[in-house]
Amino acid sequence: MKIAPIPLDEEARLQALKEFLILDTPPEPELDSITNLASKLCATPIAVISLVDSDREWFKSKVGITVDQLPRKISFCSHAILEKKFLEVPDARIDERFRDNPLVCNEPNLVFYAGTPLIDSDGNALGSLCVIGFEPKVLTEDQRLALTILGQQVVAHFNLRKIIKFQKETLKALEKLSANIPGMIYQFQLFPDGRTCVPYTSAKIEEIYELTPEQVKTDASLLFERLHPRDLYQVGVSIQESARTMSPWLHEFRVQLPKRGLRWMRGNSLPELLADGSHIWHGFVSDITLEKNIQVMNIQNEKMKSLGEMSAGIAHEINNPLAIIKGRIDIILDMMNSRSLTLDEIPDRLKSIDKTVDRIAKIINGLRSFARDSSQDPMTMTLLKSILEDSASLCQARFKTSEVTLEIPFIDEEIKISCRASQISQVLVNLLSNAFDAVKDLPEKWIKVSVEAKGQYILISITDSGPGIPEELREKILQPFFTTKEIGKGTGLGLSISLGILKAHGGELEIDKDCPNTKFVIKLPRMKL
Amino acid sequence: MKTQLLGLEETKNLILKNKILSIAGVEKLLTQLPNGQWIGGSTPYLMSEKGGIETHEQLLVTEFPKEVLRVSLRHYSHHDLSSISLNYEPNGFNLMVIPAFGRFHEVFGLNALSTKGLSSAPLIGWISASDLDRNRATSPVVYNGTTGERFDDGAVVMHAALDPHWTAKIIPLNLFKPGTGPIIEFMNSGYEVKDCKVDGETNNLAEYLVQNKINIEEPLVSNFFGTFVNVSFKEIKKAEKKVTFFAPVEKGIKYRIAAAVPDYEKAFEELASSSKMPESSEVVWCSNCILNYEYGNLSGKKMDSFFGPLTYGEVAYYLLNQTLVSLVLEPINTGKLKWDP
Repeated sequence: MKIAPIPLDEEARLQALKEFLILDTPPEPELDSITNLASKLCATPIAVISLVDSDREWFKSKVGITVDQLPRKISFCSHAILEKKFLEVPDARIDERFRDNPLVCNEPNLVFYAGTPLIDSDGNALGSLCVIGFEPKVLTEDQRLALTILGQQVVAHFNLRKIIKFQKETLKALEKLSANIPGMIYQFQLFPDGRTCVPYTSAKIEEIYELTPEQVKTDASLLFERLHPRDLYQVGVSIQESARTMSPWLHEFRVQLPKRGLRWMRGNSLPELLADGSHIWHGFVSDITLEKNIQVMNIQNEKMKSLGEMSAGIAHEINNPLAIIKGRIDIILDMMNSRSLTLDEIPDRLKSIDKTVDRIAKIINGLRSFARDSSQDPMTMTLLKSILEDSASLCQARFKTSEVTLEIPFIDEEIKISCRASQISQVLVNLLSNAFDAVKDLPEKWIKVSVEAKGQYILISITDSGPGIPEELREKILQPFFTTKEIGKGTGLGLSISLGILKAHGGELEIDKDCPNTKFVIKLPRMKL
Repeated sequence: MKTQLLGLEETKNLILKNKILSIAGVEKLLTQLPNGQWIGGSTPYLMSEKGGIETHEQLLVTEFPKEVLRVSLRHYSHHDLSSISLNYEPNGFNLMVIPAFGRFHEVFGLNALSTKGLSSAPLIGWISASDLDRNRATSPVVYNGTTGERFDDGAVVMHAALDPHWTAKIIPLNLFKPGTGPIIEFMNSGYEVKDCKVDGETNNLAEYLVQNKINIEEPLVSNFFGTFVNVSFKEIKKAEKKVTFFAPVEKGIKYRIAAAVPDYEKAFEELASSSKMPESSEVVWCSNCILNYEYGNLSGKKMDSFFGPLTYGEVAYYLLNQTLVSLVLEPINTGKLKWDP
């Protein structure tokens, strides 16, 4: 018996066979139909789909035999895969390669064999579809052609199986990934006649829209019903624009949900034009309600933080006048006890106490207006002088303690700005505090405030004795969460929030890059009286 | 909404106080206004606290609220559609006034939805007019108040920046709903049409409308993702077998003739009450279609508190007809933190 040699590409062939994940799998009706048909067309009692493994041939489908596998060395198919060509053995008893094969000279005494190799798209011969008989036989041309075509169908089925398996695995991975991203991923389709549907969406749609994927798979109407009525039209327009210009759909909108109420969402997707004229968008929607609320809350939080930082200084600032009042009262009491207090002296002494009480009241007022949330307040015409003085009074004590000189210029009583005074004060306190932190340990420590009118704007400059901001930090420093302070000392939000407040007032916050020291310039629209 | 009929001097005073204003009225008054933060367009037809009126003596002035922080005004030609959105404020709205029947009006109607970026922020506005029935020689005009320039083509846009705590929304209020008649589809987009498909069968639209005695005061209505959008008939040109429109019809869209509105005044009342704005919202600007005024006999009749110019077309991102469009400001912080995890 001539044992079929091992093919030159055996390693790649075995790897390909392994990747089809078909060895030792249960019978499949589609393949059994093919082997049955092969047996009938070729009029043979036996037909098999044989896969040649490293040391065995294994039958994926079989007709007319009961064994599942045979040793490779006695396999007819090992010869068929060698040449990758149709192999026909009319009478094995007289064929050099097979006459002493135990399957021929012993039971079951096979005589006829014809097999077409099963070759995958990379050219690997995986096995063969073969027909076997107990009598000598020669196939007709039509029978050979039919067997060859059936063999190709077997390979096509193997490929399909592989693709389906790959798709299932991909889908499973996609589901795992989509379950772990903070929003829903989806495909949204708009047909030329205006119908819409969501062919695919991750399970997160149950959170985002409180709908199931099945509810919108063929009709997206329910999804549009979830949109806030005031945002519906704008969403529609933006979808149309995205479709017509084939540009990304980026939109923020509100949804009204049965359980979670009003939420802000952000959608982001890319359109694709399909052959039927419909558009399909691939993208994601995420819930940005918290982000929207934080945007509003951050301004207030940052203010509270500044207040905390200033509290020690403020306590000192209030304690000093209290001590003065106490001293004055003690003197008056002593004088009363010693009967040396004359009626003429009383007004002067009380005036001195009254002045000191005014000083405390001013600090308390400044604190009260600074701390309250003014985001919804109307803009009012306010004297710049009073805002600047109130803000400075909140910082004065800290500056004095650390011997930092603060210079504030004379400010024209006529200069008014349309603003939320508390918010502008927050910006000034933030800039003054930053300046204080920058200079408090320097040998030369001063902070200067200057005010000038330039065109339609009022410019308020805060300059400190620091060495200036390095060029590479100038842009970053106004971004949220960027800080040059030690960990735990700064949130990095102060300047970005200040910038936000000033922009909301139609103003700007700029760094004077030409100044040898550190100089921030607040630019606010000037109001004519 | 702070919209009122004012005389020339009162309007001048508001401008000189640096108020941000939208002004509608006849050209002879608009021309006399000083430079300032205002946008204007010509029309004698106004919906005011006195109801729908025609006036040559007063101006309808809308003063924008404090949430509008600043504005910039620009003129755009019909070549500049794609530049408009480049000047949008990050959080704001844009008020556009277009002179009727100019090149910009035509190009905007056909291309607004296919212009990249135009819908990225609220774009609202109106089409200015000359007299509807006096056939004067004056053209519809628009004004850039900051420069005092007057234009009879192109468009002037007021780009407004809003307080970051507020968001602007455009609300179209449409009296019309699709009727029960056949579906009408067009083979091409445009302002004038010969043939169309009526329930799938090709017809000449002019002949179809005449033969079926269809009242063309009712517009064509399409369903736009749940919002009904109108296109108004302008004229049936029997001899040319053509129909013209005040806004373009679109290929591929399914239209129906609107169901009749027997009483415009009552319908507006119902619509206004059904779309009542929440307390925290503020309607800051609106306009209504002159056809609603004409067909609905709204002369002297008041429509809730929706005061604004009566126009030849309304802009709500693109060109609409026979629709009341309003601009609403709403707080971003809806106070819904209790829902957060």
